[in-house]
Amino acid sequence: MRIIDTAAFVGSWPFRPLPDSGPEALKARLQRAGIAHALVSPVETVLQRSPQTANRVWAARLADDPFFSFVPVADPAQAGAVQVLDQAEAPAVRLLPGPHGYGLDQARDLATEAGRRDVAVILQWRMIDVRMAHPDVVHRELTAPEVRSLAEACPDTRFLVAGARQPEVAAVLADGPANLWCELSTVESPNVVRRLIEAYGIDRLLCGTHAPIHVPEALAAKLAAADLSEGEQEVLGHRTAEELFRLA
Amino acid sequence: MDFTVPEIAGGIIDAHVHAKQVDPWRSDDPVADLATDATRVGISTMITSVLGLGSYLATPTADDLVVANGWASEIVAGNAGFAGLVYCSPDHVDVSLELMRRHIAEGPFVGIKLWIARKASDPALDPIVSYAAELGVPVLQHAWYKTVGQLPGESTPADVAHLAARHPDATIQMAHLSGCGERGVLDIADLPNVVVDTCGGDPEDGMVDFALEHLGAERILYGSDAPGRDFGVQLSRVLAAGLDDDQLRAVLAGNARRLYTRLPAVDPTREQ
Repeated sequence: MRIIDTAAFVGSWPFRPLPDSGPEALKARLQRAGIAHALVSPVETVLQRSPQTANRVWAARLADDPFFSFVPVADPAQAGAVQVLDQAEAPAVRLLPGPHGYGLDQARDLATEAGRRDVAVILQWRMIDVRMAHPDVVHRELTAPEVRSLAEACPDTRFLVAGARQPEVAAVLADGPANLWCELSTVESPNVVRRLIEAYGIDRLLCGTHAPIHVPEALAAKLAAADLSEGEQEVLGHRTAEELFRLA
Repeated sequence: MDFTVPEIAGGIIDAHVHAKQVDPWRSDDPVADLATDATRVGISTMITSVLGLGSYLATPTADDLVVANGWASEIVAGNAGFAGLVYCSPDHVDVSLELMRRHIAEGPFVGIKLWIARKASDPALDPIVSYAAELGVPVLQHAWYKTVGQLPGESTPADVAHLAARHPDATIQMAHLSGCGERGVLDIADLPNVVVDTCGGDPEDGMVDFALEHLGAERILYGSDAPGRDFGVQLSRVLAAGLDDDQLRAVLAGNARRLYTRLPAVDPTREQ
């Protein structure tokens, strides 16, 4: 099964040491977990008010490795945020509204411009379970109404919701706009992948690991429980991601 | 992409399972669904408590305890893969002791479960934990360090450490490695009668390795917290850790067999 990981990060997680957060170790770890290609964003931007510095560093560092597609982080509340979309060949831009402290109503201009340029927008619902967050850094989580409202306001933009739980995925996808997709990294309940497929359709779901914060091997456990057919493996594993992110 | 689970003689033991509180997801019976999903990933034994019917009861009445443990008893009696824990409450000591007598001393249950009726540091737990020690069965004690604030009566690992120090002859299974975090592991590191189970939230990388470094493999038990969590996902965090084969066998089954002495013996040469 060819898997594109649409929800990975690279770099130093500020809250505790992680075993495989550097690019070489992360790549090896993801490959051992069965990942063929990964979309990655710089995780240190969680605590940086200006993500562009980390974007430039990591875009250059990963540029020569075809295993990775670099996804810059944007803060649409900052002046010049649209310049992130100029990042060469980025398949998407990732928004961290919780850590960066803005509402999705402030992301409409950037999201509209992303759509005009045929670049997808990844909306990060959460980075960590707030129960275990650092006491000084408890981030706001997204809500389904604001996600759906943004998607409805930007109908020509493709949105991937990352880091959502199963009920949140349900609230986003149930009768939601057709330009919304969800990835699987932080959904967890018995046979969750099969249940989501049956409820919302396989073509609305993508694979993700939330590595290196979470063990990437967890994705394989979820997929194994679903008993996917070959056709389902193809769609969920990579085809939807290739279409959503215009990957060759 | 494969999810391969090592073959463990006698099967994997999941030391932290609940039953009855969720809707079924494969059939019309959540207990049967638990058994099906467990078997798929090589789990032979689920050490299980029932914390209430329909929902988890944080402060159960005496009648609630009787009913919940009655359901647990039916599950254990009717399903070979389930081993029971008596759900006890320090708000109802006499009833808890009677249920322990009925289901452990005179029945097949293998331990007790304490949740959030009172903190583990509360002396009201003492008669229950003393009786568990007398029976030679472990105490599964909920614990968590929550940034967003503890629930009323909810223990931190520091409370668990207090309990373990008061009862050095009792075996305490501190729940939720990830929920307790590094700080929680260090809280109980010097208390050899405390072990930790591996569940508690998302499968964060590095947490099992941290526990391995500070507690040793012999003090770590695989637990999933299913069906609130998934057997396979919670196994993945153990399989991904830097455990050698002996350590892996210990975490996945050996430690539970050593501590839960009332589990049925297995022939280690028997294929699953």
